[in-house]
Amino acid sequence: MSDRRVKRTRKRGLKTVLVYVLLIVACFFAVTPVVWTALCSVRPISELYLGKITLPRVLTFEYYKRVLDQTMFISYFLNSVKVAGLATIISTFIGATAGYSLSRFRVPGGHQYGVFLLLIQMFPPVLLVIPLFLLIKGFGLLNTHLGLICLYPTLTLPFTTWMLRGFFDTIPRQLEEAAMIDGATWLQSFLKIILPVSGPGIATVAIYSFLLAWNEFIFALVLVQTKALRTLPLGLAAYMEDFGIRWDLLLPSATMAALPMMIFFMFMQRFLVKGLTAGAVKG
Amino acid sequence: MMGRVRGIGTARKWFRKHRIGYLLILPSCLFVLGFIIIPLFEGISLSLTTEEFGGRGAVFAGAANYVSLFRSDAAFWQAMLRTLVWAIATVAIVYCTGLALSTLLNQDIRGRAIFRSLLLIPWVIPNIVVASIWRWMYHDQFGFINSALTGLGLISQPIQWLSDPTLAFISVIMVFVWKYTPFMTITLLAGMQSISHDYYEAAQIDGASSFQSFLYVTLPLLKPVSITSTLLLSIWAFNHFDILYVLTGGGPSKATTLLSIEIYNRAFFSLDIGYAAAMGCVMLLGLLGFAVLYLKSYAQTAA
Repeated sequence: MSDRRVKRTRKRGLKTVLVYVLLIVACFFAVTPVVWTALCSVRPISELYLGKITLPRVLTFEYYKRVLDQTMFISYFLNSVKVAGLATIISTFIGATAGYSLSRFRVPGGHQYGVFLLLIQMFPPVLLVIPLFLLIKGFGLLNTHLGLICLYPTLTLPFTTWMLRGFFDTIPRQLEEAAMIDGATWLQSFLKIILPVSGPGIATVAIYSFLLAWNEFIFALVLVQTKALRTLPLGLAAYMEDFGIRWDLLLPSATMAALPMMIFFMFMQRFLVKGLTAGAVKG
Repeated sequence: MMGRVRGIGTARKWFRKHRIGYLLILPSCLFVLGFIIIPLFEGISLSLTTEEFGGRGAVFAGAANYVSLFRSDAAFWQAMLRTLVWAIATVAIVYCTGLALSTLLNQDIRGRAIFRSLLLIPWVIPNIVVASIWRWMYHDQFGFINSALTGLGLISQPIQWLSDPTLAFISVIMVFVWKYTPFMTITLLAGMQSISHDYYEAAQIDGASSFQSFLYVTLPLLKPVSITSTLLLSIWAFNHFDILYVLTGGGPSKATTLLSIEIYNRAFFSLDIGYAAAMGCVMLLGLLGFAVLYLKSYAQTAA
């Protein structure tokens, strides 16, 4: 009896060890490329092109200085902040109004519109980018940020609308009804009752929108050709094209583009995970 | 059926009742109209012309683009086939890795939150950064992978990860898997955590081993989540552009030219806008099949 119990605990212990080992291996694969890039970005040039795996013996920030001084990295970065920030605000606003309408007003055709939004998620960007280029050029918005700032919220609409609709659905209607009886308009009840409790839903949607706008490449590639207006992804791609591959520029700028996202993500992980799973998991 | 006067009255009442609801959807509709619907129709009408950049302007060509696309465009169909192979391979590998990792993360162990955070990291790295990072990892002389393999004494000649056509295709699949596995892991993990514990207890009472309860409890109950997330991933894989465009540029010798890259090059390098739009429309038709499946499964999950 006790023998068997010992055997069982030992078996369980073995299983736990196996789980840890596999998870550590998986984490190694997930993290190594990022860590390696960051490490290489602070190596002196004598250690960069070694073809051996070593920890850097001397730390140097000369490549960072070079990127910041000699290239337009800072303006790429600020362009991205501007585009992604404004796109996030618009995206959250139009997603929230549409989501609120679908959740509370149930207008005829509303549900069909929601389903249609899901459908546009699968239109190939490369098909849309060709006519968009001509249209945006026609409106004189080529080589402006305005085109991107208005385009990105449209790309996130399927997610923002459905996410917020689902979120608003979980807020009991009685709260608003009571307020309406007390003479509040729908706008007052939305602002005073719904919004204050919608923080997590809004945060999830805003983070998702920001990530998309920060990462987006193909539309930016076609709609922005002026060097000074490049967003960060365009800037990084240019380090590979404009100068051949300049690793001394690419490694630090890749690190600097990834780092804010990773820090941001550490603090906002809860919302990010929620956003990630909302598309596929009920609730 | 109704009298005209009464009809107008009802319409007005109907309008008043739904006024605010429509008003709230309106901004969203305007964006969709301007950036999706109009471009889509513009794209379809372009596909019927011989529009070229810097050319004489659009000339209506009827189905001519489609005819030559279906009759004689070997490059297009090769890209289509390659994209299908790519999508099937990436989705299958991502699903299996995601399932394995989510099962591991669903175990009752310490430090789960840390493992989960670390495994999620690739997901937040912007795609262009992903491409830069991996271009450095795969570098034949100074890259991490060849350095590690040489250091371990496994290879004596550097492996040409991105210059050999077959190897390049496998290499880019691995990069996509690296980036998109976290999505699958977390989605499946959320699905697993929503399965009631009662099922597992019942299975245990019936004498099921943990492998059996995984096979007969977890997997069947995970089916709806699996289907939706797999379809979503298939669409992403099928439409994929940015990582490959920057990592290999579609090369060597077109070995990693997916449909999106083929179309992009046709439009913005060959400047054959009308023809590229026709290619895009054929691609869209292929995707609509997926779309119907996705909507069906989404409706089932949401119901």
